[in-house]
Amino acid sequence: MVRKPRRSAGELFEPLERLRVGPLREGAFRSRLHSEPPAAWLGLALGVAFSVCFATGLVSHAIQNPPGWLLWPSRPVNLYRLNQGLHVATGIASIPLLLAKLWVVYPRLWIWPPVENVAHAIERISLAPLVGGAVFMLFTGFANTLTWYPWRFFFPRAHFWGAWITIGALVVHVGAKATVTWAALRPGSAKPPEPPGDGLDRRGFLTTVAAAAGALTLVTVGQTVKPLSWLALLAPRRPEVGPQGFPVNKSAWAAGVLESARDPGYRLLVEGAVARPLSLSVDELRALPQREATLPIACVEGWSATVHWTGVRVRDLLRMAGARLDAEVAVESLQPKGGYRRSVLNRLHARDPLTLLALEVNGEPLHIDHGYPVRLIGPNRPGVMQTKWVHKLVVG
Amino acid sequence: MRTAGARTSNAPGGRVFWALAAAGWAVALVGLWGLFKDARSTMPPDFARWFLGSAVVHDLLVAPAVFAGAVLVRRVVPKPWLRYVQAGLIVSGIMLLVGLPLLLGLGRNPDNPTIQPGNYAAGVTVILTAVWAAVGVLGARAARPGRPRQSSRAVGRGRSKPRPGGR
Repeated sequence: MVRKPRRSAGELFEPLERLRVGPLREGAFRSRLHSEPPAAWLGLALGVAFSVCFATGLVSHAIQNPPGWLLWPSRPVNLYRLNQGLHVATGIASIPLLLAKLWVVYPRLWIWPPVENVAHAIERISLAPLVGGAVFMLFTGFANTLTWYPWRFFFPRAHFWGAWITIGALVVHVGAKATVTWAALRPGSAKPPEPPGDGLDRRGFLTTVAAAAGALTLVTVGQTVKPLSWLALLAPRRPEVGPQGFPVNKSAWAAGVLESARDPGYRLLVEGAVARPLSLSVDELRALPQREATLPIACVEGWSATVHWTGVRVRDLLRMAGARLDAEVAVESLQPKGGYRRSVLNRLHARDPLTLLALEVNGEPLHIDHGYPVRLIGPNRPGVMQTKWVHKLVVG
Repeated sequence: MRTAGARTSNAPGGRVFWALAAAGWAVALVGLWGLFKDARSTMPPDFARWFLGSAVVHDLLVAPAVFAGAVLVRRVVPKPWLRYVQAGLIVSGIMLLVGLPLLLGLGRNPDNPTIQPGNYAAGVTVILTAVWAAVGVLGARAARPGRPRQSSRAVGRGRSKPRPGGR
């Protein structure tokens, strides 16, 4: 080993040389793929994927928990569907990218000396939340699309705050690696020749990982992109499978509304800041002018289905009740408890002519699992906010 | 990879590093603050178990298993086939990792058949068949007798001349 002048931190580890066994041994990892170029390319790809995933995740969170200044628009109709489809697709494509990157840089977990200086110590410590966080985000996100919850925390909150921790750690990592990565990727830079071997070389390895990401995308993205749905062999939801041709997340039985939804005494109430509070039975709702809208149900889990709805325009009901034109409306469900029993229509959504209280799907009365007698459906809105088994509208 | 003994020139420092280290930690602390603000739903002890546990499981279980497998593959697979089998294993491994929870029906709800409605055993079989068919075709082409022995290079793969000694 060539002796070079060392900083004091490195010298501290010299007496511990005899601890260098197993992965700590010099030359323990022999693959020529443990090198800068594949690490840099995979890092770049992950940086892009995680940035898109984080941004789209923030949008989805903000729509459901709007800060005071955010007025989420009701158009374009398919914007949320695109946002969430992109979120899940980039998350899933990141799985092979992350695993490949972790494999390429794994020997660095066992570098010697373990700490060279303060900056190095900070960089290394910051990798713990990055590696843990990245795996955590992809695992929890993927498990959520399967509705598989092997943990006890509440997924939406944990996934959201976990994202901030992970992205923070990613920023630190970028700061530590920016110069090195640029040097490795800069066109025209002198790259050390790749050692010979029989297995995959750098290009072959990166091509394989890209192919894995592409193939994984192809077999899952059909849950969002209809023309690819025949390929979606590993998609946990099929957008055309379910009563009346699209999936159900929460069934009527699970929501505890089987009796109340079918009760002949059911009335849709419109109350709050209105001149004439309304109380309408299902027949009275059917007697009102029916409007049609072709709108997607776009789930936070990434799948979406386009459905043809018929029902009463929310704006018409507000006018009937004598509400202000720019009112905000809280929509409440018969569902007795749960965080999603209530959603808010901001003033843009409330007065959009496509925002309906739907009574029919594809010409048939709404199935009980889809929200019979009446469910909210509006453009550019997450599925969890398309309240089912609507009981009342409270005008703000 | 740089030999661990040499002073690694990618140990960080400089203005960019410190600025981004500060910014990154600020962002991460926002996340930590939020985690505790919503502690009733995020359950920090459970969260920490999964968050840090992910790194531990990967670094101390998954990665060593993959390395052990890679060593085995190198020993067992004939040289002309090696890169194709490696590629096939990488793609298969990813597909099986993602497919495993679906094969086990984790998260399936008997009251809601629209969750995981597919026949995932069939789907995984189709995928693996396609992958290994491709490996078979590409590997057989490379292993054809009379084809010059390829030593791999970053450039001009497949066009290198056979070298004496094969290195």
